[in-house]
Amino acid sequence: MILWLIVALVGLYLMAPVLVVIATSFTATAYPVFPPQGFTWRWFGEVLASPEYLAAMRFSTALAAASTAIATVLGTLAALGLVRGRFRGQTAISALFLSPIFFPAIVLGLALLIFFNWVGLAGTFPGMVAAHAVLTTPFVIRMVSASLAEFDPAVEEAAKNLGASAMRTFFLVTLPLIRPGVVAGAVFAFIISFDELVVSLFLAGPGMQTLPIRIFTSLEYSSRPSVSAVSTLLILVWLVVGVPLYRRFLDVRHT
Amino acid sequence: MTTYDLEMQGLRKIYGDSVAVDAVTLSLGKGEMVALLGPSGCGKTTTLRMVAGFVEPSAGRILLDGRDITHVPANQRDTGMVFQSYALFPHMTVRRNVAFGLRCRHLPEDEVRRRTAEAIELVGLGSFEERYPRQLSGGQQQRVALARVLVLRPKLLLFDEPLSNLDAKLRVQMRQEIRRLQKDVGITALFVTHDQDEASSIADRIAVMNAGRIEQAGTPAEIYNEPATRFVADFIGTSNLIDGVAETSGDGRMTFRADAGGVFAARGRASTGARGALCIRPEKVDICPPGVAGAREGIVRRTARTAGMMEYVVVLTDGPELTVQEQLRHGIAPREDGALVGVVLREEDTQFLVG
Amino acid sequence: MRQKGAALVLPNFAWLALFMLGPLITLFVISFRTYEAGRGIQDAWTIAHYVAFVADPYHLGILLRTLRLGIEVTAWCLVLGFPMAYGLSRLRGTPRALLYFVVLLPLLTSAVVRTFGWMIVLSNNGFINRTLIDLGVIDSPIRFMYSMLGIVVALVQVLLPFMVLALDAALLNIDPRVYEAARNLGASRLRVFLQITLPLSLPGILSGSVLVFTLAISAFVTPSLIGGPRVPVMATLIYQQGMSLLNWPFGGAIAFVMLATVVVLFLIAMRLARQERGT
Repeated sequence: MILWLIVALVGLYLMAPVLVVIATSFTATAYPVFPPQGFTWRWFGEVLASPEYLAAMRFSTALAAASTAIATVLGTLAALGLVRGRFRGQTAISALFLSPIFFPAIVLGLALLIFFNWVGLAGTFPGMVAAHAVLTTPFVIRMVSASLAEFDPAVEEAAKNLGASAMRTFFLVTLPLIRPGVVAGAVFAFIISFDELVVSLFLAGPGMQTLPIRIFTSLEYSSRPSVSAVSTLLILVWLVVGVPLYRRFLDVRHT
Repeated sequence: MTTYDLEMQGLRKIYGDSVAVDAVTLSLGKGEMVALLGPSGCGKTTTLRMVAGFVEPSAGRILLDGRDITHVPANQRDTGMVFQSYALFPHMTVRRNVAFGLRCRHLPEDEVRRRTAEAIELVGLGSFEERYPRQLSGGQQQRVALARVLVLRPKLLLFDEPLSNLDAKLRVQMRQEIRRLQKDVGITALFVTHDQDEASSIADRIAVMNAGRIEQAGTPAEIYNEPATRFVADFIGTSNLIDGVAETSGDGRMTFRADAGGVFAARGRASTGARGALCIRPEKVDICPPGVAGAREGIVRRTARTAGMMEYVVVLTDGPELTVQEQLRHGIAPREDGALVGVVLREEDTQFLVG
Repeated sequence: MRQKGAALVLPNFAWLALFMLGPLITLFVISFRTYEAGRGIQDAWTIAHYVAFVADPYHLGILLRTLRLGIEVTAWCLVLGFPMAYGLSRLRGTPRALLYFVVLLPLLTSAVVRTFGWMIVLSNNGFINRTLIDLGVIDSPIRFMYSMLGIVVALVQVLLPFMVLALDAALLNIDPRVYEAARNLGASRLRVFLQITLPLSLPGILSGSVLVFTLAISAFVTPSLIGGPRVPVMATLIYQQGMSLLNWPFGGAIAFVMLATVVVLFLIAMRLARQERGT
């Protein structure tokens, strides 16, 4: 009994900020208050009519799309090598490849800022794409590895035994079988990049505002319920796309 | 006081709308080892877990040494359970595993130490006291699991398929050892298994379970020679089961008409016209040259050689098919496929089973 | 030995070498360069930045505050995470999936968004303070915003999922028959928890704690929005040095102190895990 009471209270605590943000995006007051007062769709309208928010969304989308493309290729190849290959230093390579997931972003951000400043990539779109690819590739590797681990490598051997070349085996057997993992990895990479803040803060040049940067800067000064509205939109996207992916991602970690 | 140590009275367990265990009534005498035998999903493990206190019965009572323990918490039942996975505490050494139950009983430390050492010695693991379970072989882990419950001198030992994770040779050896230890300490035991050889060799009595019910309880010989139901006849060993109807009956003897043709004499009681099956073990059928007096005739259809034995499928001229086993003795040539042979079905080996 | 599959990992290795390892090495080198205000990074070598970080009381204070933040957040995550994981491990089917979703929720919301949610709840006239004042529990609002307390409240919520997942994995690893064996041998529920559950979930406690501590001391968004300039921690200090003051050598030194803390912790945890396995 006491256990379930604690579980319920902690569960409420875990949900609190999300519930609050969603609720305040409908408040009729001029600033976000909880519990909300009145009801209005006005703030969503304001977001969708705001040139700054729309520009930030466009920029984040472009950045996420470009880095996802790179991450998907790098990650799929890496997963194939890590799962199917057998080479020296494999464990170390695997740990290195997954390390960006938990690596302190604040350190990587500063390091990239200094390095890019030196090589002339600071404040450029390609520089941000390169950094985001580093951050998102591990998620592709995880998802593709899961797909690879799920099917029997004997299927590939069967294809080769039937006379298929390595190329043909990959494109006709392996790739179709791991496609769900590749797609899931790409979607995961996209939302991770779309959400990224810290490294972007270091690398964004003048006029390059991602959606998280836009929200972050508006929070540092004053906030209007339109911030709640745009956050609610982000939460919805996460819930629709992210939940099934995260479950899969975590299942992999347990095995 | 009763002469029984463990009594299960009308035990039932219902999960949602499926009945896992249905009206199980069984009594174990003092020092007796009874095997609950049945296919997987027959309710034997659920029954055991109700006795241990891990599953709350939906109905019925459990009496241990005359005391009703149906609602006593699992940790106060004084039963010693050996699990299929052994369930040793992976973070404790052999010694601490064995001492665990004694410590729960807050016994003085020197007694804990003495009894622990004795129990470990009893199962022959004296030099492994400080090892962790993962550093032991399967058979050794099994012995620790045994010592861990024997040290408590419980009223009742419970075995949940304890040998199924061992290889075949070790299984036979541990069977004998468990049997010996149980007789030495004289503790009543309930032993769950799906392996009929194991049940026959380890238990004083066997209770065959199917679909949540006990189909028959008796000594291994009774179960084998006089199966009470069609399920038991089919599950224990191999049987010829010939479908048909009872014709005349009286005095424990009857005649039987097979659906496929032919009339047979058999043991059993049934009202005229009752449907059932004729049961006869393949090794109880004698095979002889055709024309011998009292023998039926048939044609050998399939032959198979097993170790020291020939197995034939004989199609009787009356109609039914029989599986027949014949010991290969020196000088006897195996029967050929298609050969005409005689078979002798003795009345005392032929049993009618209703259903 | 044939290096099968090595070619496939090469592209990503090159990418990481160029955009992660290379920059980190650059940062490391820069952290030993002298810096002069107005003239920027000089060519001379020095360890002054590392010395300054531990010798200067203001900076040492930030280091200690960051470590304290890590310890407090980890402790709270353990206290709140254990009942959650324990409850989770006792559920099956849909109830488990639902609770799992609740636990994962913080990971499914962007850092800025959930911090924003806390800012609304925790402000001086926010939901919590108004409720407590209305109930007569307190007279004046509790300072959550721009205080350690607020950072801890918000960070524990974000990092609790990692702890619960680590503990849940450890609890799932325990054969449930082991609990039954302990009960059968006469152990009370309390004894089962203290002598079986707790020691057997130690690997999860360890890995969860290291992960939460690491993420807590390197967190940036929450301390910078809820703590603000009044409660600087290492991460906000790094950002300030890198972006406002442009003292990259000093920022680099702080970054490597943070990294060193993280690495040392991971090594200790691995060592303990190996001892725990008793090999």
